[in-house]
Amino acid sequence: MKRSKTVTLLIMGSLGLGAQGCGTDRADEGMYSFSSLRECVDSAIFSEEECRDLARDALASSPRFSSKEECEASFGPGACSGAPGAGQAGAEAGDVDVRADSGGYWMPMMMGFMAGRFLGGGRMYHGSQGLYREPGARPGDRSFRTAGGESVRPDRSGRVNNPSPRLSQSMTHNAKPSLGRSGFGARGGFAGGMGGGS
Amino acid sequence: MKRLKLEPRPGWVEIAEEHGFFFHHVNGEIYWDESAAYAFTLEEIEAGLEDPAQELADMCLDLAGDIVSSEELLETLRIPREFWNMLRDSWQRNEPSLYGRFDFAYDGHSPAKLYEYNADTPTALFEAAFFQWNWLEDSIKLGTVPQDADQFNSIQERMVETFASFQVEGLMHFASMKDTEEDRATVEYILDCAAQAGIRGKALYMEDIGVDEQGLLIDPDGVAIHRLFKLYPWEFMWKDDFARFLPASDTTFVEPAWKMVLSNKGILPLLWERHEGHPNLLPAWFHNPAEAPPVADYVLKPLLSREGANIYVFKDHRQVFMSEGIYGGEGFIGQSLNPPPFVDGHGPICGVWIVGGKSCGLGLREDESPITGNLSRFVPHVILPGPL
Repeated sequence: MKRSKTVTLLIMGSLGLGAQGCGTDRADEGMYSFSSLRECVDSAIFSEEECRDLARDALASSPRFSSKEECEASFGPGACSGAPGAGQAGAEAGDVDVRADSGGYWMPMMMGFMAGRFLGGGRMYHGSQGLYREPGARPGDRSFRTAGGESVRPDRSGRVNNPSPRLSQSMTHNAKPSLGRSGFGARGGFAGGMGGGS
Repeated sequence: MKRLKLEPRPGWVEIAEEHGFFFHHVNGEIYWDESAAYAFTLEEIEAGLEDPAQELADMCLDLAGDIVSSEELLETLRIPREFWNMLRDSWQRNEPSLYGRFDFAYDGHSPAKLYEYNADTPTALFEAAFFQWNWLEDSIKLGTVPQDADQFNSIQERMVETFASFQVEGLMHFASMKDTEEDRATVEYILDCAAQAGIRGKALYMEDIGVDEQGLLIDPDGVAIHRLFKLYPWEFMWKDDFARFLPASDTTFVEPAWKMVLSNKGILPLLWERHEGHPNLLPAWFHNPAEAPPVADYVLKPLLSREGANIYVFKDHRQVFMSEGIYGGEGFIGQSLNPPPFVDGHGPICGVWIVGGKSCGLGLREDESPITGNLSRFVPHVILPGPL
């Protein structure tokens, strides 16, 4: 076959590119679960820019394993997928070592992500992490687990109420300050009036 | 190679938009056109396009090495002296290239002829890598193409593989220019591929890049830009105000600085000099207005240009066509005239993608005018078990 075995989009799509999110100045602390970027944007709890950021960070901090077996040992049978590209190429070559050497890996399949907004040192931060299938959860259950093994049970609106201290703590590892609009735009920088592509 | 007429998928516009593809029409004209598709045999793809593109990619790498180490060639390509060290360093450090696109005239029979190499900021990537693939899978399910149809298209797989090999630690920035929907979508897509390789990416606009007190590039949140994918040509960058900060910045660019020598049309005569008579090259020369070109039918192209701008077509030494544009100040190259094949009234151009140095996919654009610009239509392709 001369085409990709599968192609997916993680971030792009289901979202109007023209729909620029406005910066929200909402100062509510809280934790929320989202099954998609769209859901995050629609919630208006975070701006579109923040949602993109949160989704990306959650994905990027997803745990990696060098084998399917190791991944399934932590996340349960059938819960893992090989990273596209290097991993598959290695597997196809029938050489397991190639997979590890070429940067291939296995990741638990993300069911969505959890995003939080919280105060720290007098300013607002936001952070996120991936949500994975909780072993034993039935289809349709709103019941997930974090990479660290904490259970997450959001209410119907997606809000995670009364999070345990450990869960709260696990949200801060990739937290960053929520910035308002800063004054950087007017510096000239790179100019030009037409598209750069060809 | 055949042009098939096909029934578009029901609801294809919605399918496109669900995937973030909003420029399916441009200025009211259709851009993504699935009422047609080009069919190839596997032999036509592999021997006619895939292998030649791979060979040319390798030839271009050798040529890039020669150019960066020759002041004479850098002069010939009109690359500003201030950037010579920067591009030499990027070459010596082996800064990796992500992608490029060779544009060929190809009719399925005679050897494909290289028009040009979009080595720095090629677009039409999402259409080729993702949406074309999506079209084929749907069309197989709908039965509009045979079950065993295939496509020369492992572009996305190769993108993710290549990003994984970059071994990016920390944040990588991805920039396009403001007010360009197509470019922004392309950058979004590239960021998506990077995310699938585990890279933490942040999108921004070129215009919003700033510098800190040390002259290092920063984003609007004040975060240092150590790795930057830029859908913005090097020859624009070196003319900008901020160009003075580039040589001293610690930013690693994708495409790397050395790629600017290959996005210059001057490589066409240089390739011809080195490989005269190569079946996939057209005769090309550096144009000197004081000298008669070696052939009567030819095209003049600016050393630096994009989107088919400032192209002059001559037949029997008389100008018969020109396209508008702002380029040409740096001089022109000449290339033997070789019109696209005439397929049912359409002139298809075959864009073969090189990702991470590997020839890995095809996207076709067709146009009614003799030059493929940014308003030509993208038409998908299939590989069918031959004979067609």
